[in-house]
Amino acid sequence: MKRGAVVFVGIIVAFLMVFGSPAMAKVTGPCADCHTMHYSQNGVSTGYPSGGPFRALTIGGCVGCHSGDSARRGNNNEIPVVLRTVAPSGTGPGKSLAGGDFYWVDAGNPTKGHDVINLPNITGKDANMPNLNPPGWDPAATSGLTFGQVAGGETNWSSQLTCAGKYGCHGRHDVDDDYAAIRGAHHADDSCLKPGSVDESAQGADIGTSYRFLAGIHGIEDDDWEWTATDGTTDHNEYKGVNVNSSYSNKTTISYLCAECHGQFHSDTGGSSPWLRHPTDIYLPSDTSKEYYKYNGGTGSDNPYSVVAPVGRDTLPANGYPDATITPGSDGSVVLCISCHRAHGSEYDDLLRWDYSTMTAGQSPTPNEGCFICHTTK
Amino acid sequence: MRRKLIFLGIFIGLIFLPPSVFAHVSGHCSNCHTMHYSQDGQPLGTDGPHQYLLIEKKGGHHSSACVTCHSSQTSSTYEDLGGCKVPIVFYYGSSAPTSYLAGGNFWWVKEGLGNDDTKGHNVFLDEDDDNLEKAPGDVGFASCGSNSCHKNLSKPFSGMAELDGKYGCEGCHLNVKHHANDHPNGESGLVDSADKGWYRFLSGHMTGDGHGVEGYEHGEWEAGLHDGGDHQGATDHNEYLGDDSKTTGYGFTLGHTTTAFCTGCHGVFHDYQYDNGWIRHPSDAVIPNEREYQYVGGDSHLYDPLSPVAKPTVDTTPDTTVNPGTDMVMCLSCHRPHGSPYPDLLRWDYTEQIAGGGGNDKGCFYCHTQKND
Repeated sequence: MKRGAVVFVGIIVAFLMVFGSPAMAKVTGPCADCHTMHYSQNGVSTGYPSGGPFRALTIGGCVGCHSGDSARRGNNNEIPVVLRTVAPSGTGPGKSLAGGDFYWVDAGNPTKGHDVINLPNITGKDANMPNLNPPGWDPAATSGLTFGQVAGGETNWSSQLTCAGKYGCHGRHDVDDDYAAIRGAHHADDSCLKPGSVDESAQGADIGTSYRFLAGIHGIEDDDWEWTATDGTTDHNEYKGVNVNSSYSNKTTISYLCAECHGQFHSDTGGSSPWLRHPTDIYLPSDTSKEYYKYNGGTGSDNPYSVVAPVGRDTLPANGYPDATITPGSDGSVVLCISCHRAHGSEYDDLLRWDYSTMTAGQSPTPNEGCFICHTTK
Repeated sequence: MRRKLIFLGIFIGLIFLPPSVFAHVSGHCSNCHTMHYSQDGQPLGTDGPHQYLLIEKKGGHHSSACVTCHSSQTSSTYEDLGGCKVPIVFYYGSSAPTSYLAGGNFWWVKEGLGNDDTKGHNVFLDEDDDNLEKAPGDVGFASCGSNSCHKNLSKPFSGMAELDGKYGCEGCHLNVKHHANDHPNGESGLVDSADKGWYRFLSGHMTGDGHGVEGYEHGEWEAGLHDGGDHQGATDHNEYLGDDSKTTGYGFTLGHTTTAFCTGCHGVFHDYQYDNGWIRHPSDAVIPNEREYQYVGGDSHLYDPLSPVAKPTVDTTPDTTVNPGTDMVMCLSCHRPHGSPYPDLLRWDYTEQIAGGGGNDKGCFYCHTQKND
């Protein structure tokens, strides 16, 4: 009898482990964590972020919800924080979420993050930039895009970068404001993006089914935004990439998302070695005469995936999980923009995942770090 | 002789008139009134005499003349007072009531009982609200006179002859008309005029003079529909009027709706609810017949007394269904005006409304039908 009970409990636990997680799609948590009905409590609004009430009855708009003193907020840790109110110890698992943090750019270091105008201390354009245009801006990169053309295809941006919308990264680009751009996405069924219930054919149909609300982009979303990610496991985001993506032909990759604003860095690379710009959307070479097959300390086959220098995957298997290992030269080894950069910001210049100025050829005391995770013999 | 026959005919006709013509409170005058507050040479109570010659109901709580009749230690819905049904809005038994009327109950806010100022309007004398200095969302009326009802309900108002001395219940029910020409006591009916006393005696003053709330009054104040059970599709219930013609504004400029009345004190919550999108929860706004809202009330669109909606027109027959694209969300969709077991006088515990948490389509999810999926 006891044995039977143990078996039964085991079945239940296994069932929950296998099927429980995918069922936890879309935002899950108390409504009160994100919404206030009247922007008033005890007759005053002093307990809420200033500037309200906010659209969609949110407690503080995009930044209000997604800022805080820890990397995740809410009773269920269901709110990812992208702007810390106290200095993070750095970026990476256990320090920040996968996209990094806006803390440094908001604190006055324009080279260390996207200068999103929604941030509380960003009042104008990046002081280092000549105008509002993103570096490498190619107005044609999003011409004809289903979700709208970034900045309306302006030669010179007339507005500064926002979280979402026409001048933003997230949501649709055919509407001006952040709220309309992601309308409905937080509560949409996004199980097609979740480990164990992946359905790439359903991804990118709308904003809610787009990776991290990045219009049309595919991927697999780690459920804690890589707070606990580790090398050589399936506990991480999986990014969509392809091997060669000329003329922006594939609009579902994470690198295309970056190229929507930084197109020249993606399209004007030279096409092959010797490269004019660092390549993206291309497999790591498997040639053993080169150094890349030893990605992240591996042997060229089933190398451990690196959460410091992540690579992308061409096909996202149905009901699958992120890869624990990758093999250079094959699907799963795609070099990405975010192999080197963190999308929101980092403690390093150029939003890099490591300090470029300390990457010293032939002298690194710890060779398997930063650039040298791929450039293994440099 | 002919004249005598006419008089006799009129007299007999009056006798056989249907009872509905003799609407309003019925029963012995002595059920509610005492002429001299004296019987056998002794006072008829402990803290009278009272205005309007009201008695102190046996078993009633001696907070005020209103409360005395409308309170009970044994019932939390209604009592029979000599054949006349009296709604109980303040149950003062030792533990919280499990069943109450549509407007809720003051048990939770009363000091010594629920003792939680977030769970009811502070209508009891000198029991000031611990958290509020004025009505939340006041548009500026709190400074009117001394102890404006827009400031608190626990102190008698002074500064305007017609309202001097009023507080508590009369802060909202400004002109109580128990003998107005409405429907018979204990029966339901449409109340849509001053002559009928307005819906639940809710009327205005100053710019609201001559205006009041219209609606269909359930004869037993929805007793039995607020006991924790599922009463979707109830055939008889209050029916509330709504008017979506104005997105901003407050007071009876919004129409003769319950929301208009609420916004007399909480005007900001309606006046500043829209700015290129909703910035506060909408009230007197049509429930869209699209997205998740089109499924309000489930496949059969059943009306739920737990989450009532307002109707663009109210007649003598309450609807058993809710119509997306036509019916409206209103203040009372989420709040109980007297008090409730939950903070902010809500009809449910807001902290227990879990997005993506599954469960049935109750509370917020009655309208937001897919947020809990």
